[in-house]
Amino acid sequence: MIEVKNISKTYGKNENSFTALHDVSFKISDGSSLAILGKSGSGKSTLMHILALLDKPTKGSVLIDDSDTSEMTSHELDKLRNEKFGFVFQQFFMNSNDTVLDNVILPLKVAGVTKRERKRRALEALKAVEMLDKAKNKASDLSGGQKQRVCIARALVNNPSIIFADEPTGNLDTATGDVIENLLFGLHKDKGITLIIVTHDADLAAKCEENIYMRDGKIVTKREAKL
Amino acid sequence: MRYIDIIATANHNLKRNKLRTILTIVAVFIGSFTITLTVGLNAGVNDYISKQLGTLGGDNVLIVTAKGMNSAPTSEPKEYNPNQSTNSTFGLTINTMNDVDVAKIKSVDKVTKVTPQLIPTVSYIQGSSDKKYQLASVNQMVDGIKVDVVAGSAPDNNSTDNQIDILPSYVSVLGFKDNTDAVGKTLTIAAKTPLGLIQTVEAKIVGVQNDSLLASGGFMINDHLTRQLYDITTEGMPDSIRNNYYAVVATISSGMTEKEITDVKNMVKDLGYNAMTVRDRIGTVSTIINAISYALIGFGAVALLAASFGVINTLFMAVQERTKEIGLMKAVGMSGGRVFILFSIEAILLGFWGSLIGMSLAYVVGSGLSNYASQTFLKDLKGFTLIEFPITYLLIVMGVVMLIAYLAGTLPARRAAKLNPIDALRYE
Repeated sequence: MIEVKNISKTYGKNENSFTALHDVSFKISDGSSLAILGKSGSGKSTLMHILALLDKPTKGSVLIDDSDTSEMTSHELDKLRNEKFGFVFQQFFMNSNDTVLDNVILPLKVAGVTKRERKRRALEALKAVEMLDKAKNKASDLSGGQKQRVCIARALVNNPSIIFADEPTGNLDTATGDVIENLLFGLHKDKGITLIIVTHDADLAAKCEENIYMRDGKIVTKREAKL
Repeated sequence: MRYIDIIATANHNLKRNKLRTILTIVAVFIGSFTITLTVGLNAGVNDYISKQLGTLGGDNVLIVTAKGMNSAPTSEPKEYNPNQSTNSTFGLTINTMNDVDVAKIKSVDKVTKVTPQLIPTVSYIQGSSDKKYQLASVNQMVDGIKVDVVAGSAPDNNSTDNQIDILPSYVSVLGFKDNTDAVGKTLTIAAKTPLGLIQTVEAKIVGVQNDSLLASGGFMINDHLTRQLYDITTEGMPDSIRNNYYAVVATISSGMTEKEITDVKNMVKDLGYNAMTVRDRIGTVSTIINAISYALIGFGAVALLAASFGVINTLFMAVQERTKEIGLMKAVGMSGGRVFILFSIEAILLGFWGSLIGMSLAYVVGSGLSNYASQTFLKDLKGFTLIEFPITYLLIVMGVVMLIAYLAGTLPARRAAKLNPIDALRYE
């Protein structure tokens, strides 16, 4: 469960300061799916960075499973992200010259898992996204959709409780995008992983249980889907 | 991330851009190669010097010379001393010593004998055959010095006979069957008087000696023979020219401690002379060898400095190119510290491979040169390996190169460690 309490994020000082987030508060329960919408500059990316513990709020706190993250050392935060979070990005961010398998293994390598164990888990994750046959291929050999599938496998490989997706279908055509969306929501339902998606796409947002619409650093609309 | 994975990842990263890695390693290799060869040369020469001269003995002799005249133009003018004997060679006037000095030095406590060092010139030598041969020089035997004989023994300064050691290269031409055969035979030595008359003396060959740095192609003779030859070459000359010595050897009573010997040395120095033990002498030669070596190593170090800029450049480019990759690694929980270690190890590996290849090639080239030298210009100097590679020196060179590489990688590694994942992963 993630809880966000009165967080604000300000850049710069005094006259030159810019406030990206104003006093934002909400809760995300385990196993739910949330879409964060808003135009550019609305603060949605900033909000996600703070939720994903990649950034610290200037004011307020983020609680993960009731633990206050502002009291954690950077080592503890690193460990938390490594064990509980998975990331899917619009631009994939894969090492093109490495194999698909090596790309998926990365979070486990960072965690210090043994070679054999991490290979086993990576292959499992690739199976879940139906990319097992491409394990030995170079990442650059794949199409956009295939790459995003590998990214999802990478996000899954450490058995996360939350997956953060930043415009996951932004670089994909509609058909491929649908496939990816289905994959994400399928995993969400099957494994109970919390999904937090930042997107422009209203259709994608509609598939999520909750929506938050941001403007100028504030939440202007909160909608809960009736499912 | 486990350390073994960090090292494996670093190695993998270097392999990604093979050409760039190879070029950087070549730069490091050039510096390492040069330094290793120079260190090897220094080791070889110093080893020979200490082997040959260090076991030389002569612990209880002092080589005494007069304090020289300062010929440097900027020094203060020195007053003329009519009692100071001098000698001029090639227009350079050097202070020498005379019999008065000999007596003074003899009077120092614990000095048992003072022998003037004379350098007579020899016209020719003749053995049992009819042929006469030139001789580069004769070297006066110094008591207590150990000599590398292959037959017989060193000349004895206490003997009242003329004694001489010859070099192996002269054995057959002088008409002897082999080294052992030469011992006990007679050698005729001819010297010229100042008026140009040839006079000969006979000397008994008491030994055959290997050539060495000290000998430089000359034969070793005892004091008695030295005096005889010198008398010929200075026949009829006034005392002031005859009793004019570049150096004298002062023998100290045996069984004295190093400190006691130093005390005697200082007493001689207090009388106004320069005094050196054999060890001091070696020291000066070593000092010169080392000074030359350090200069050469300095050049190698400059090459290494240039190479380190190559390392810095390579790593900065790597950090730049891998910004997103670093951002992703940090997002999934890799700490800045680990990122720093990762890039530092990439730098160290560049140093490792460069120095390894540099040293290996230096070893091959150096050994080849040594062999060639032993068969050509160092043929007569036994036991002289021109270039040697003691393991500790090699390890030190490798360690230093790897350290320099690590230091070169510090700035790029820091930059990578400090990357903010948000900035690194920004969509462009």
